[in-house]
Amino acid sequence: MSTTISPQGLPDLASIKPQPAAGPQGGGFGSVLENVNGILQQADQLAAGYAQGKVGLTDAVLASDQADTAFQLVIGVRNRALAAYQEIANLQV
Amino acid sequence: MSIENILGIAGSALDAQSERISIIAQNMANASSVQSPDGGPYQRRIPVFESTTVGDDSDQASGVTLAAVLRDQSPPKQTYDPSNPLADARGMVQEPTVNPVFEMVDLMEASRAYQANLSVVETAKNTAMRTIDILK
Repeated sequence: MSTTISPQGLPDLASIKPQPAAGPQGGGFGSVLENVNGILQQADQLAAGYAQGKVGLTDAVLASDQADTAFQLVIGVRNRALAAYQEIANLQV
Repeated sequence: MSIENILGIAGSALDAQSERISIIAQNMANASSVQSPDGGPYQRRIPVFESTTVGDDSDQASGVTLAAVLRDQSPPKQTYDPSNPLADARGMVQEPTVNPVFEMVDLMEASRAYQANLSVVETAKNTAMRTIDILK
């Protein structure tokens, strides 16, 4: 029978339980993606509205610009997360 | 004050300046309109801008909006042309007070103001993008 020896100041490894991953409803990256998707769709609608003469040019262009900025931010965060994962995955054991 | 606010403020200014350009276009087009639906010659239109709240009320960001379009109340220009069917008993025809030189100067000013606000949008976008570039 083995016992876990916990060094002073470090948490007992046996007590750490895996946390359930946050789903799209539980905040986290999924909900951010949904938000950005909403912004992108809104920009698309405004562009279509401009084509139909319902929306002003500046509104359509500025919404598209804002959507692009939000999308670039999400891509940046995704690249960061992926880089962190790969660094862990490539660790030599 | 966030990027969205900057875009909202600059966007309201872009809208206002393009309205102004369309009013100038209207004045130029009617520079020699001796008749109008209201009777008498065309009256030169003058845009009036007003500072207004943009976006969420909590942010108190001030954009600009076209508050009113006023009419030039100065008396119409009188031209002597007795052969004109619209001439009065003294042979004078009433013409609009629109001065094309005046309108061109106003047009240049409006166009420059539009460009200045476009620069604001561009700067806001560039700063946001460069901030995101920190992640790379």
